[in-house]
Amino acid sequence: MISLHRPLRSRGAGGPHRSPQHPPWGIAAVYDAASMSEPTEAPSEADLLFAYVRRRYAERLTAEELEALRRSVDEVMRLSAALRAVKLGNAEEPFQRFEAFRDDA
Amino acid sequence: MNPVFRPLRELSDAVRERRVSPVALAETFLERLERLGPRYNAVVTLTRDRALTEARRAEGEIATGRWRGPLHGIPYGAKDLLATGGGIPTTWGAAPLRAQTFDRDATVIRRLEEAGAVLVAKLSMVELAGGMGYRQPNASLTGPGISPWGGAWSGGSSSGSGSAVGAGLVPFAIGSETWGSILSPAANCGVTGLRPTYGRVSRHGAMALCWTLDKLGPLALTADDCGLVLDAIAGPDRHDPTAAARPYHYDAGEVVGRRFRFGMIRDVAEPAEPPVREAFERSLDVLRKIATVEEVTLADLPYEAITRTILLSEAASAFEDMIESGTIAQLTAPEDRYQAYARDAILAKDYIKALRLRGVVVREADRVLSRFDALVAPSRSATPPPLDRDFSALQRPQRDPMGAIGNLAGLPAVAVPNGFTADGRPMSLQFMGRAWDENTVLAAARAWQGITDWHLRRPPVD
Repeated sequence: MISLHRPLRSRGAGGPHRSPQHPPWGIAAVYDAASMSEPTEAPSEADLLFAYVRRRYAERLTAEELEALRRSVDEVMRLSAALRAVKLGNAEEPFQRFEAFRDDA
Repeated sequence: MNPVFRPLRELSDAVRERRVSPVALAETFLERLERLGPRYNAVVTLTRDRALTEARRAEGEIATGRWRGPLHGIPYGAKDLLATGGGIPTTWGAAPLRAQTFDRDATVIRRLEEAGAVLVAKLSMVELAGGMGYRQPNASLTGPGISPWGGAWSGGSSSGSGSAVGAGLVPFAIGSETWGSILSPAANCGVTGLRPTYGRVSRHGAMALCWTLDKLGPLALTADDCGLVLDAIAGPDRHDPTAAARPYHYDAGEVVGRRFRFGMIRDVAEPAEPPVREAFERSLDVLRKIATVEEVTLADLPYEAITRTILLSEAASAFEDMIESGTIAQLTAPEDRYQAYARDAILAKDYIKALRLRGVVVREADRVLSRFDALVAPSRSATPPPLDRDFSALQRPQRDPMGAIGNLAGLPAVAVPNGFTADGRPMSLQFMGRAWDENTVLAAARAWQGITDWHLRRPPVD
């Protein structure tokens, strides 16, 4: 049973608890994993990020799933490009206020 | 009196005047849920023991003159992402969590109990409320949600909440919406659904999909029913810091003769399927009897990209344990078993950019809405699809600027039936208002339901 007043953890989740591989983060490692056909050509951001995703999860996935995952990474890139295309002023803050906290306040 | 397909006020009057017993009501709807629920994959757990205990208590209180209000003795169902104590499972629609239990009720369940309502079932939902990126109806441990209208997809993620109300298995239900999860099943199941303002209803005890987008609200037969339920569940909660202290009291005042001012985003129905677009155009003609309808233009912003980036990022964090551990491999929809891995590609600066752009959007939305009682639009651009449909194969891109803006800015909206396709699948119209202005969108929806009868049509269930 899970208490609503403690951080929730799903006790019912009985699946395989494999520890994901956490590769050392580095451009060289990612560049290699990107399997670029032209090693002198700079990899795209999508190539680099997909290489990172593949490095972490490929052992769990089939070739078809990896292919679908690549398309999902490309979709993330499209979202990012749309956001980056809008210019904001320095003072434009996240619409999510932080408040200092005191338990006795 | 046959209590099935009755609006809440009729049921409530019958209960208060002791023409109908709460125990008999509970038994009627429990029987329907048991007999008809499987036809629509609408039910996860029947809460029979709890229902009969609550119904007997209501019966005793009413017999001694203690009437708690319009929901006293009225059965309802709750989307299975709302925690319930007493050993009742709360599965979040996900196969690996089928045995998950919590030690107490979510605030919404507790508020409804205090109002005297009777919980008869935990209702089906898309696994993890769709947070893993499902692209097909079959994405729940209970199978694809089925609309009582023609066997099409019920919509999601509050699938069972929509189909159970639409099939007369419960008088009302609680659903949740992060982006479309109340309006979509309301539309596909031919019922009325209310997405309240973000912060109007406590989310304590509800599964978190996206902390800054999640909202809880009712699905019922009419807009008036939704107002009665919202009145019972709204309000601050010390367990949910986002639950606002602003008081809410449902205003059920007369709307006959009231003139409304509606806005309509230019070309808002353009991406819709032809039957949806045609139904919307017919609806505009009807609305002009009670309102002015003016076309408006919104600032050119990437509304859907902003909302989607926030949703994908927060969901990746909310379900980090299930994603990292590989537990998602046990989910039902094949794409839900791996798509979330792609969210590692969302950079922190892009999530923060989305949060900064959110400020621009909320001001722009309020600027536009301040001139109107509501913006009107189709609730969904697609008609209810067949159960074997791959959403990514839809002919038209599923654009949803109203959903993106409304959920990003936390705005209230109500979805009401506005017609049927030639083969009998329901379609829906939405009224979206300014923040904290549920009473205005509900008044608009009541006015609509006062001059149309789409919400009175019933599917061939029995």
